[in-house]
Amino acid sequence: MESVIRQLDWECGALIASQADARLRVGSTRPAISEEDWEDIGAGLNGDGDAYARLVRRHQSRVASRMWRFTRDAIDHEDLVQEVFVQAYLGLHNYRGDAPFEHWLARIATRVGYRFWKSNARNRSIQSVPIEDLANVLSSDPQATDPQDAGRTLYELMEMLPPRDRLVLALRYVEDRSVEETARLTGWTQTMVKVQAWRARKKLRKLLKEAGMELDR
Amino acid sequence: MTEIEILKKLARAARREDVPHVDVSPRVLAGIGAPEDDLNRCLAWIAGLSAVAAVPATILALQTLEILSDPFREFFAAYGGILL
Repeated sequence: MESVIRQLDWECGALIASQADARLRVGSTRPAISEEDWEDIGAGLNGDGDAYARLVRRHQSRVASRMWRFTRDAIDHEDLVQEVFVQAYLGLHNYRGDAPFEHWLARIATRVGYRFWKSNARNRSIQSVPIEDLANVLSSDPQATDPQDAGRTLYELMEMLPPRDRLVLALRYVEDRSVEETARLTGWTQTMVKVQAWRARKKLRKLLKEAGMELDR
Repeated sequence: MTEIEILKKLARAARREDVPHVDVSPRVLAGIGAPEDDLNRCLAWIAGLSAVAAVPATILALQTLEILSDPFREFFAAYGGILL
């Protein structure tokens, strides 16, 4: 009997040890992030500027594409990209590596861009729906449309809306993100995203109708 | 066409757009280095001021020590008047 108890005790001990080991292994593996990003983040946290510069160079083109949706001005655009990486550096100690680094950056970029829209909301230059440009882009074949024209028209159309509506429409329908992803990027609840998207759609519809566009239901 | 279809069509066409090329790494490094530089400058000032203040403080301390450890101080204090 004693030997059986001793055997059980030993097996339980071995099981607990193996579970702890597995937890450690899970904690130490980083399936969501590339090895080079992980190393550069670690070095960056220890004050290695070159490592952080490598990280910036690796991710800046993707961040630049994202920030181009928040402004069409080259100088503002560069400032916004820089701001994203400065904010990322300041919050780098909070990054735990459980999601890819670019997802984490996307959240920061969304916050920085939204703040930029909010600060510029009163100085909006576009006062009316760019109806002619819109008609031109919509009537032509998507492959034949000039991407710059389409981008500018989309920007001008969205600029008619308040920043909150603009953000939710951009994430949900321009970037084609799910409600869950939009909620993650904005920090809103999923219900909030749905409500905001519904309101924004309604406002956009009203604007387009007022500009003389006929819309389907 | 609905308002969402309009947005999606514009977005599809705009996806091929060329985004201006940026290299912000030097500016980012300058941006994140600035607070550290300020801190270092501030610490250097504190160190300099401490060194300047340390010299008279040391002289004063040595003089005080010398006065307190003078073996004839008590003698002169007690009998100074008689001797004079």
